[in-house]
Amino acid sequence: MEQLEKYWKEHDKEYKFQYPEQFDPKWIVMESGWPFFRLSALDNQPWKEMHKEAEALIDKFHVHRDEYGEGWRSLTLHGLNEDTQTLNSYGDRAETIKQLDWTWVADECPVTKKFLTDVWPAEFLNRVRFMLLEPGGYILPHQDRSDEEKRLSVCNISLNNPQGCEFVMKDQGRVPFDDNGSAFLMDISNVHSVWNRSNTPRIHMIIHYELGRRIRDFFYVLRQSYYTNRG
Amino acid sequence: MFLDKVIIPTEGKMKDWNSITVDRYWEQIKVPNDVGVGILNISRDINSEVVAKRTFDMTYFYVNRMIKMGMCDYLGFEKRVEVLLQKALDKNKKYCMIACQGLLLYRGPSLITKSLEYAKNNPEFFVVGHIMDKKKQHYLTKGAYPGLHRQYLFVNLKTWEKLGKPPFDEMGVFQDRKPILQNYELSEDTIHSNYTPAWIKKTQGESIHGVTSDGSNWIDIALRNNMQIDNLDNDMRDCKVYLYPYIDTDKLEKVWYDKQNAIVDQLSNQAQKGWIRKQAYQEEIEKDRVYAFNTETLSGEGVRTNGKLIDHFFSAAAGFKPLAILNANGFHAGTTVHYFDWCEASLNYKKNLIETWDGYDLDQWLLEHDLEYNFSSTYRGNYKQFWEQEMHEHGGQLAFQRLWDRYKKLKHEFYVIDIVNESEKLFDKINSVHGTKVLWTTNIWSSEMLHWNVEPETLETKWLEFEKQVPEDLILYGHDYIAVDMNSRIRNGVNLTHPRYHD
Repeated sequence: MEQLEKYWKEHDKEYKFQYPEQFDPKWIVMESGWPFFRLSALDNQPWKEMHKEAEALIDKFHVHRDEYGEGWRSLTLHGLNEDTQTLNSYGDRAETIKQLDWTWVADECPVTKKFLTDVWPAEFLNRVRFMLLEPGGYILPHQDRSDEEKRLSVCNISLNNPQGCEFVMKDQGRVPFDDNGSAFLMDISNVHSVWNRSNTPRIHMIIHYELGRRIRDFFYVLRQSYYTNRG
Repeated sequence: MFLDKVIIPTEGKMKDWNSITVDRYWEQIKVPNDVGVGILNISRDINSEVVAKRTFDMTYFYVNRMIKMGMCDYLGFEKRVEVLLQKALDKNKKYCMIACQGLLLYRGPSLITKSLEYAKNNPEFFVVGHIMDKKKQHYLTKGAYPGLHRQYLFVNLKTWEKLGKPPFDEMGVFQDRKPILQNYELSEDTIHSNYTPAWIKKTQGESIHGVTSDGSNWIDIALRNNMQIDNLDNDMRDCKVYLYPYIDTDKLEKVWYDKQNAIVDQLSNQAQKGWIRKQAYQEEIEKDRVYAFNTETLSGEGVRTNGKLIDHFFSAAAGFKPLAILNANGFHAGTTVHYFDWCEASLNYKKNLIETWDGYDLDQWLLEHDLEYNFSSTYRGNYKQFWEQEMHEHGGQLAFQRLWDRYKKLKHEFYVIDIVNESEKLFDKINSVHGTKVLWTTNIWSSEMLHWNVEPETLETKWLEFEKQVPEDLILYGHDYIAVDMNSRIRNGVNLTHPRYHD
């Protein structure tokens, strides 16, 4: 706890965005250095219904990375099975990719699945998981990608985010997840940590994806979000 | 009658693409209606509702001209190329022209003619389009497999079917699922830039590509089937301009109705900048533009007074078509000609011509008055040729001269009236006289500049206000706001409307 207290004291702050005049999707994703970017264009998605679907399966979640987390659990909607780990851990990545499919979890969560098939602007899904952090649970500071892979990549969606639960990036600040639901592109080459100091389980969804031929759909969401965020 | 009603169809050479009405030039274009034209909806990529809507409106404006010429049918406004292709097949078309939102087919009839000529010479072709090899140009498609720019495609539907009706893929970026595509060879000849080869064809082998362009899959499929794809040649390119509505969209929105704005100079895309400058120039010169000759056919509509001589003729002040209508229907010494125009210079020109010209050698008269009026550049400096054509269509020099002699003795009235915005002024005049009354409005309602400046929904409302005031006994010549013959619309119930924009 002392480690988390210290980390929070040093890094829990508001991140200030500097928006250029012109929208440039490549710059935002690859060059901006922004630690996160809210996909405001998705603000009206049925996050609450999706949260209910995930919450109904709460006893099915699997413990996740307990070497540096406490109360951190996951349940896979799209992957190899309901407890899919990082895809590179299964050997030949190309073969693994071919085997990816919906799990039984997606069948139990029709609203969530519909969002992923009809709304989410990417042609292919890789691993998609619900991520649960129990009350009092935490994820110690860690880095999922190397500094060389600095860019906005995975999407982290708060299906809920109770007051007292915070996601903080080292040197950058707090990610302003919304308890009513919010989607963020994340640069997970930043060291980050999560701490749920509430009495409510926090459920997020993390989407790993490949844009493929829907890159313009993705840019559209990015552009709508950019102008909304900039105000 | 003193004079036989002689109007000879043109074999003409006039080309004035500013009007949407059936043009004299149409007489030269005889093609079967084998083409369906669809507009590709790219509103998603345009960050302005104004620009998205207006580019759709204007793309349709030029498509409509081709429809009115009987050269093609409209298929709709769709987000997917393959949906438009299927619609074309459903209409039993042989070919499908895909015009992306923002494509201005200002010489669309010529493009259809040239494309059909290409099809005749290459009966098994799959598609003609802008082959893009943007390896070095665009950061998003850097290193990409070549593709076809979505602004324009001309597709042979038989071949598309034979290839299994492949969808037209959008550009893509891949990490784990990179497609394996046929190796290719590009022509060394380029059309206008080093990224626009004249053709692309198959070479041995396949390669993995992490970035693809719009239509890369069509190129891959064509090459695997040993088909070469050709680029548009420069003659085809000259028939159209693409506004690239997703580039500098905010600036384009600002200058759309304010063409003289200095922001025009900041437009980074040359096609966009050039077109807006052209529009600005056109708008400026149209303020006192005088039409010595008409751009539409003189006699296409025929006789409409059912044997009665015209007592009052209300006419736009343009060219000699008023004489052709008078002559075709018949008039008498007591006939009054009421000229109206929003442009005072056109009315002054008419007055001057009636007062000072003897009916011979109009080309000489025009030359003498060349600096006095802003004549259309279509014929400026080439008066003799156009005058000879005019005489020919009126039955020769003698026939024209006799007609002119009778005509100039008539009583003439002149009114400055903008019939789009103050139609009641025109109808006050029409309703104040009695007898056989004829109205000719030429292409006022369907002209290019009007449609650029005013949305079709507004024009339709104004048109309906105009239409409501048309008295039952008024004989009609001219076109409505979507270039439908007024007589067909008002007297024969051809109540067409324009397609609505949707995103």
